[in-house]
Amino acid sequence: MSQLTDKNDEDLMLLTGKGNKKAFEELVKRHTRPLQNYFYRYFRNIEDSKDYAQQVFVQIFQSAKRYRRLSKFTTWMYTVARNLYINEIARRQKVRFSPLEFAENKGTRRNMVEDAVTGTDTAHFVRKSLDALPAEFKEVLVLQVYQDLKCAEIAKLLKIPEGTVWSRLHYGLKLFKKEYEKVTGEHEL
Amino acid sequence: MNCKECEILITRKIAGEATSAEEAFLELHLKDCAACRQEYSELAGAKALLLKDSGCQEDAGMVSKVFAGIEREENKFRQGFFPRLALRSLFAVAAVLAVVFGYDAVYSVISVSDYTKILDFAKYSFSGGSEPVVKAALLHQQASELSAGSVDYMAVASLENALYSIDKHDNVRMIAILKDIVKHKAAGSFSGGAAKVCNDVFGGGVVVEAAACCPNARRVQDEILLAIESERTQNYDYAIRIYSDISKRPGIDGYTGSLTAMLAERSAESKLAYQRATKLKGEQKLKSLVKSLDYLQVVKTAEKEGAKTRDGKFLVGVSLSKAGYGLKSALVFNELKNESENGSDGKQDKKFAAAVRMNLGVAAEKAGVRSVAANSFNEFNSSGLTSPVNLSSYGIYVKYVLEPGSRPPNIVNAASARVQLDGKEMIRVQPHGEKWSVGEAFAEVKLWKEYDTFCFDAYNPGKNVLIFDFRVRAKTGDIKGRTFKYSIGVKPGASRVAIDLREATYVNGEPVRWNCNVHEWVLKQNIFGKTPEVFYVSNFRLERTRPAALLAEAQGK
Repeated sequence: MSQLTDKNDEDLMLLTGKGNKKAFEELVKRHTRPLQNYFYRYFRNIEDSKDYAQQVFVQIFQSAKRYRRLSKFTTWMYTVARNLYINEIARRQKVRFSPLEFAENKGTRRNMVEDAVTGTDTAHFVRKSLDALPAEFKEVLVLQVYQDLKCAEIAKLLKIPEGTVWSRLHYGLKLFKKEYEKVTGEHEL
Repeated sequence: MNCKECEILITRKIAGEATSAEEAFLELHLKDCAACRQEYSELAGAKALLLKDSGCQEDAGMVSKVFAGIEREENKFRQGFFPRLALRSLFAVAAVLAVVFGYDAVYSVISVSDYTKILDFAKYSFSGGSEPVVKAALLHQQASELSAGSVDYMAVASLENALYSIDKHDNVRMIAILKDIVKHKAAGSFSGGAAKVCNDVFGGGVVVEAAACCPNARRVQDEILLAIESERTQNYDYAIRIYSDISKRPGIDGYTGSLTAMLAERSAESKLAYQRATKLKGEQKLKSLVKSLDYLQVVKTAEKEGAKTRDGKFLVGVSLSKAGYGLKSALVFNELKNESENGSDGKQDKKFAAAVRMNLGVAAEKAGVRSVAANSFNEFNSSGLTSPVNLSSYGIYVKYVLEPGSRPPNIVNAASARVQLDGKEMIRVQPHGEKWSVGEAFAEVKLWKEYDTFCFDAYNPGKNVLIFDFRVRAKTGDIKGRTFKYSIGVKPGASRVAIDLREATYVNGEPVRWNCNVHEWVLKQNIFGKTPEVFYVSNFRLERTRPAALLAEAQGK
């Protein structure tokens, strides 16, 4: 096991492709939280985030044999995750109905857990401000600040020039700050 | 370095990607430029703020969930996708082999266990409306034929042609083929099933025809099937004859006997009306014949004596519909509708116009023309009139017949239904959850012990399979208070959901065991357990679709 923990993601992925389930288990352990949080930043629902993270891992495992060391594992993983997110958003927009769960579970244990996570502190305002940003700025901020991806990787993932990523990051941070001040100002009022 | 270049370096520094040289340059510039210092502190502050949100906690059980998900996907691939492809090929191969080498070749390729899979495949692949029922029945019969060893390539080819006609919505051609099959293959195990197939397509009149073609149908299962279909289409005498015959045989309980008594009463009423009809003429005769439930006679009389008035035509339309001739009936009502719209009938009778639309809907539904049915029902609903006839006798509730892509305006959302069987004889469907806006109107109470399947139509407007919970609560017996919960998957579009109540049987009026099973094919459609936000359900009903189960139980005693 200790050998596996020393290996980088790409090596683990190649081992997974050869049928080594322990290697894949190590990968899952490493990336569960970042991946779950990636979805959480968009859907703001813990259970959904867990489910989507699980789906991404399942998809990764199923395509492990086709994996080549052409890019970083995380770039590949977030590409899968982003595609899943885009599909889900498209589906939700098409249906355009409020989730029943939300309507019915008001005040239930699950919502209490969500509230505990959401809170009314700084983190809450941060979420609110981030969610208010235009999608292209939010996406770059999420990938750079939270998922810790390099701007070159983000450019590859989003299929945009690297310069665009830098500019989106710069203006995204500025917009976020402005939004945050607006949100906290409203709260004080 | 100017401020524009510095802007890029500030972003690189904040992203943690600036080199040491870049950092040194930046530091120098910031010392001299207040504006850039301000910019830097603003962006650094923004990032620090973002990092205060640490997100959600890690799911500790993710590894096991992922491996469970992988296993599920692999199973789905093995059990779902491949067999579907394989079964499609199986039909093609069987048909070719049968033609070229005869039955032995087919039998050597298909093992008996495959027939069940074929039936499952049929159920899984098609849903909603009468056409899929026919398809399933045809495939089932095809399987039975092959397994019984009585197959000939003409039968296989005919069935394939019939299926092709269904796909092309050529009901007329399909009916002709099926009639041909009934006439030429009316022997042995196939006959009863063929009658059932025909009845699904065009009702009681053909059941009688089929029965006449089936002198050798002696298997109890087929006979009960024929009796049930005959009863459903008001051919009580024929049903009584079958039930009486069966109830005399050893190993059969009182089930058929009680039905015989009930049917005899209805039959007596029907005969009385028929006697009256013989003394009358014109429309009065037609009306009396309708009361006698001899719908085929109504049509014949109308053909002979003519039905010139709109009321006469209306009676013919109703009779055709009741006798199962949906398409013919729809044509009659369509003519009446056009007449009332053009005012050529010389009357402005809103009630009549609404009744025509409602009946056109019923007939079109039977003929499988759902778009016409939906339009007609919508027009009927907008008339604001209540139903002039007992719609439940058609097994159709007008409000919720949907065209693909449409949705009933009064349903906002729906989550789950609770079905209560009170342990004696009643079934009641109650809306569950505040978002179920259909209200108590859905509740339906029926004698449930005569039925074996609880059905409803579901419409899933999304692209994905939807999963929802279905609960059944026991009201009496050993398991009083226990709730059975089932997750049901519904494919996009319209589907018919059937829940098998066969296990809920009685001995001497007391429940012996109490359970409900959802058909396997419904459960197979679960994908990742995701539930779309909305779906629609309608037409809750009890059906007797599985007499074989009752029979098997009786035989097992």
